[in-house]
Amino acid sequence: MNDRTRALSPPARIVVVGIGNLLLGDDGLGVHALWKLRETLPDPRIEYLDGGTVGLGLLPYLEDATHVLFLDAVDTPDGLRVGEGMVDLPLAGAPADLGLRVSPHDAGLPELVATLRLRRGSRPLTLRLLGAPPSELGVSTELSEPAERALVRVVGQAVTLLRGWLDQDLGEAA
Amino acid sequence: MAHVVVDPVSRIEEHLRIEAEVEGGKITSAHSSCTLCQGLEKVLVGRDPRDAWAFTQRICGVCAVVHACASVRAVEDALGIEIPPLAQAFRNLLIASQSVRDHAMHFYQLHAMDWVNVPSALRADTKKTSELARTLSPWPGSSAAYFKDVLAKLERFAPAGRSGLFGNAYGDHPAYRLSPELNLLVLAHSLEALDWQRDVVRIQTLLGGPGPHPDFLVGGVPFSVGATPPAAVSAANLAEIGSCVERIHAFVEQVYVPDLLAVAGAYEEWFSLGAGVGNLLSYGELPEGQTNEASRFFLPRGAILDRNLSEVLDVNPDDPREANETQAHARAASPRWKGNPMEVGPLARMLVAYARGHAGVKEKVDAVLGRFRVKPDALFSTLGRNAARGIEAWLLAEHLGALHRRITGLVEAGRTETFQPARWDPKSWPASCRGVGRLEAPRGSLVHRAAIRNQKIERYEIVVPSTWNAGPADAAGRPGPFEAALAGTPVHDPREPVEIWRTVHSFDPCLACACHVVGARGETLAEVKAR
Repeated sequence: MNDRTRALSPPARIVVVGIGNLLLGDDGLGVHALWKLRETLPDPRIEYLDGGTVGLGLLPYLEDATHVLFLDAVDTPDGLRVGEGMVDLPLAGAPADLGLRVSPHDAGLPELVATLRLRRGSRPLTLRLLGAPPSELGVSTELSEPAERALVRVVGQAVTLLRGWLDQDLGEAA
Repeated sequence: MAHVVVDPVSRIEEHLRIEAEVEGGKITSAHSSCTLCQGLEKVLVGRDPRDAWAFTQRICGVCAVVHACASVRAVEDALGIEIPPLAQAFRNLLIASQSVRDHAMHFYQLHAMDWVNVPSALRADTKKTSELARTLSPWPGSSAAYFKDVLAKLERFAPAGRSGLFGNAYGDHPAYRLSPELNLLVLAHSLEALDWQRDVVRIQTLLGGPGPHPDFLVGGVPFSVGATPPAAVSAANLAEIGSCVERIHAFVEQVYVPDLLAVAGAYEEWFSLGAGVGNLLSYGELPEGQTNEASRFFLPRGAILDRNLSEVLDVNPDDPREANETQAHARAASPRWKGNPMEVGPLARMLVAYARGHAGVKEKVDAVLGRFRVKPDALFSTLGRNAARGIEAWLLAEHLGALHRRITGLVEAGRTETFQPARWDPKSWPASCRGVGRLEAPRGSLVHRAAIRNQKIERYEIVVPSTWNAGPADAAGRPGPFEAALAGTPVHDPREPVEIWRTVHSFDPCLACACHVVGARGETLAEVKAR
């Protein structure tokens, strides 16, 4: 068990969030990637968060972060060559509409990002999404082989990115 | 005649789909279908039953507590395990705080936007908003300067012509009636609600571990309690939980409930719309004794048929002749109780409690009825469902205080056992056994069924609340709750059916979180740079 008495606020300034449903095959890519990344780069300055499909419930864990890296399975537009099957998106633009239609369960990454930006206002916030297209989305706790290969690339890219963030002078970022 | 199809923006087709016929400005018939939790149970077959909760919890990130708790209850039932009273009280605290949070978040993040007009809020006079806020509640965040600040934030994120953060796709639709000031007030509180949920999260962190998926344990709760180290939950932690509980309660009582009543006041005809099937079912919840000791549940078990509040029928969930809950894998079947379609959720729980004479529920329900000068029967409606949800949040927010006192009382009396070890070892288990875990989740009755053979899960089945509510008409042609509720609803413009959303949302339907892969296609928030 991790330390239960650690205060929720302020969390670490760099947060990596793995997103996805672990019961639906490659949809869980983000969470599998998170676990792998946590083993690969266990730096105490980085907080690793298993975000599952928690949606807007993740907000309290992210509020004081200055850098957030999301890991997730990512659909890509038709015809887009993804090269080695990885997607890297800086989430810098204006927030999307909050597309909730039926239930708060609908809230996904765009809604989370939009809400984060709204609440952060003008305080600096760097958001990035790393992921790969899913191949198989059936009921399973395992990744498909293509997704396993993609996971290796995603983790490699994440390590590079995170080391870059750690090297920045975080004292100036706030 | 117009045919309207409402399908959520979801990557799974027909997860929940509603089709309605609109004629003469009203819905004449509606058909709903949903396929929920199908097949997810198969990941459990062959696993250690003591781990099942960690998998079922992943079905739904919004409901991580309830799916885990229902699972441990099912396994405990199968193995004949009774958990210690302190563990029961802690679980109740988690369940109740989850419900309070879910109800408030459902209102502020989603349902409020069916009644609140975002563009109108941007035209509000902040001084008048402040005056309005002060007439509604003693809640401190109510100065004109505060609302000016909120406006500035909203304007930044709701550029002209777009609905921005709140996804109100219908803009200045004539179905919206609130003043600009009340619109702004509710939106300001939507932002505050995002802060407020941190206290619920804090309780879950202290009792369930640091991430958003709280830990559970077959046989109890996964931590020890004591005033001195190395207890995982200390007296200081318990005191902190007490403070969280106070803040949770204050927001519900001073913000959520007053807002709900103020909004409802502008839409009173919705007490006559969205009635549904008039049958309500609650398995009861928050055990004060043993897990299955229904006579000692804080929220009582029972059923009501045909809107008859003078007779609460007893429910025996273990009698297969009463309930057909079998998951509708062939989309044709729906759960039925004694052959009746039943609505589950806060309305069911509150009216069963009301009809059984629960003093706390009666007081709040009667206060709301008095405010709008309607009879209890009016609660069978879209607005009634909202009122019931708010009342339940209010009731449970108060009950958190009672649960906290029970916990501290048990600890002070030295009754600090949190785990029953007697059946932990699989060698003590029978060769085969079966159990059921029931739980009244925020959205209604949830059931997990587990069959264990040779120490592994042989079969597992889950029926979620929305299966009752969103299920289609049965072979006898009797409509399900959604369908019945939508019939007769006026629709101003079939291309912008906000009225349909009002009734559908009043049920707070579940969707399994399932596949939610981020769509890079058409994303406006990022430039796609693939590599």
